[in-house]
Amino acid sequence: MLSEPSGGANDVAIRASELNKHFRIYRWPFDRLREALLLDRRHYHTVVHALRDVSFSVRQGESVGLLGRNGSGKTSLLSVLAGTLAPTTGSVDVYGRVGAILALGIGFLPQYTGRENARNGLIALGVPSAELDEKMAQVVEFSELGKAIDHPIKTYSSGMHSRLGFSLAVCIEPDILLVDEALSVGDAAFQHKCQKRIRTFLEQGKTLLFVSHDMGLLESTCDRGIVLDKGHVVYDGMIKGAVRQYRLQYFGEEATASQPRDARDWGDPNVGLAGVEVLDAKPVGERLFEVRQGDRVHLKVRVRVREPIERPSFQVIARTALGKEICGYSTARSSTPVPQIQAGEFTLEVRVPFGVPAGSYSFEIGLFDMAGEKPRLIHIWEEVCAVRVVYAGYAVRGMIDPGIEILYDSRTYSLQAEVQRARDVSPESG
Amino acid sequence: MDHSGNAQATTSLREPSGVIHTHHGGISRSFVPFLSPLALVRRLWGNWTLLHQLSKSRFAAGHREDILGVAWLVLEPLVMLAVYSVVFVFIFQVKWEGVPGKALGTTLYLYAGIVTYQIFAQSLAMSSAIIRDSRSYVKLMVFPTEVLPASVVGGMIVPTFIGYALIVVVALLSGIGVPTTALLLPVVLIPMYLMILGLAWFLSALCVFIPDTRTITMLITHFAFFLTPIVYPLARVREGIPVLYRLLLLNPMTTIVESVRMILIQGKMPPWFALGVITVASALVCQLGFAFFMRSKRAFADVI
Repeated sequence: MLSEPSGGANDVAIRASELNKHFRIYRWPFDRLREALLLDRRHYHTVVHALRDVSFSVRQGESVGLLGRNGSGKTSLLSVLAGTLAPTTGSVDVYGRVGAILALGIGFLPQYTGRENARNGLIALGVPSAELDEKMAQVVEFSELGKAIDHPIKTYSSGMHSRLGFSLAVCIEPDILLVDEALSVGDAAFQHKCQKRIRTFLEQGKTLLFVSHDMGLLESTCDRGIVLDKGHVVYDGMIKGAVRQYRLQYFGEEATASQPRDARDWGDPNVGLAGVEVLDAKPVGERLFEVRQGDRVHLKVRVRVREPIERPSFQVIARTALGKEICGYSTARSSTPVPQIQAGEFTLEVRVPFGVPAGSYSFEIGLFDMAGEKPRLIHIWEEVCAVRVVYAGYAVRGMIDPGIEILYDSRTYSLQAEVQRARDVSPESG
Repeated sequence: MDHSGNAQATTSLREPSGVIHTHHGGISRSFVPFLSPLALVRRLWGNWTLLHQLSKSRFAAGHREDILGVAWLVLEPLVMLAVYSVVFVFIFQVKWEGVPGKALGTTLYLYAGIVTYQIFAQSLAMSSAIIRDSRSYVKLMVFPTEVLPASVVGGMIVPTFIGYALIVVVALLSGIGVPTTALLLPVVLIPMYLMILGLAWFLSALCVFIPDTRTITMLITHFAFFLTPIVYPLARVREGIPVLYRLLLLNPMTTIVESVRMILIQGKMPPWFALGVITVASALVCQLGFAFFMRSKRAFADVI
């Protein structure tokens, strides 16, 4: 079962193939034993399907939000990935050390102290005994439990309980973190600390799977979303789309039918998107691409128009996952006017030297008509695509690097120079 | 399949590269892989740090909230020693042949039997519900649950030592003396520990499916106390009720208790043949208990 080593599967962190999980509900625990021991061939259970043919793969560095109503299979899926539940059929490959925060905690036994439980947890999670004391100190420090760490767990409040659980899960320095709603407990300061820790975790290029009902938190933390409904994957793509899909599910088809299906894509209905592509980037979902830090983003957008546009103007805006504008450009004031657009399809290319910190970003493209006194909006695609920038070891301060150069000792230090040097070392990458 | 997958999840974490674990559907329904003593040893050895840590916390948690704390470890057997000597030696005047040192010797002889049986009974009482009581380990994490029953046995090692040390100390102080055969104690205790371990695995797994196991176990160990010649001499049963005598010989605890008393107080060699048979049988119980546990373990999360 220990199949190919790390190199073989390149950058996949999790691969789930046709997962099915059926829970058998028994009236009496003894019935489970009867079946297990095959005392007879009868069945004593009713079956509940928690997961049905769930397949997906998650690349290293992705942060994926899992959405779905209660009972849709989110927790079952995380438990299968964590290894606490065995899938009924199908298989999961997990590449890397997993830290799981499932429903408030790594198993704790109430009669033991926080310290004893933490120690047991660390050992069970595979921390070698040589590193045990160091990791214990980290856990104690991160959890901020103070003297309570030596009190039995049964005296803990749910907030203290989750502090310890979260501290354990992050202190084992996992490559993959599975989080099940655990961030919504504890006081505001600790929540903030956890979210910060998760952001650092993602900046290090690690993988996150996150279950939450907090849409704002999901949109700011994840760049991809998977929506589950009755055990099926009903959506897998950009997080915003996933949130939309989830809301659609939640409020029902009728409530949302009056609204445009895609509220972030508005303007003249005679103008439509025919295709979006980011050159030299990995497509990782619906209109979701992945580039390495320092890579230039090269967008290629095909737009269909029914009527010609006399004096068009284009606008591009890049935003962080939180929606903050980081840069943009418009042709509106350009000294060389954009020539007329004919009815039919045209291609627009956008090149952005994208020296940004790792994270996910979205691009907006706007189309305006400058014929009148004021520019007239024709169409805006608020999120023509999203790009996940994968950490490649560069330090970028602020929101974007406009091309800062540091000169010293007749040498020039800059992000572009770093990127160029890295490219020279391994010409095939990038 | 699932079990070996879990093992990888816990052991191979040390090398963060490569496939860490794979979980497959489809269940191996076989006991066979767990019938190998190698599998058993590997399971315990592979989780040695965890076993050690759990045994330690189990031992420490026992008296944590008591005012007298760890002192109970010595006080409890001392009080027992006093009570049993008053009841059986002075009131019932039970006498054994070939026991040195008058009333005090008889008390020690009685106590050696009680201590031995206590280890057996307490281990079973504590381990039968251990999986049920550790549901968060079963449900929330990849945990080698087979370590839990073993940790109960591990947690009994220090109390065992204290119990027998008390006999040695009293015997030396009172001038009764300790025979050199006392050094054989570990050899005599091995079959008992193997049997406890096997029963602990079997009962703790069974208790997940049949919660009544805990109560039934307690009842049986109480009852079996009187089916072991501890507070009465075996010789008297042989003369009085031959049927019961044969029944008592079938009880492995009879041989173990008698052997402990022989080597610790009377300075006699234990019945090697009977002890050998019991050791083999106990090893078998241990292995079968392990296999039963490992086979049913994947169903724990479904019903707990």
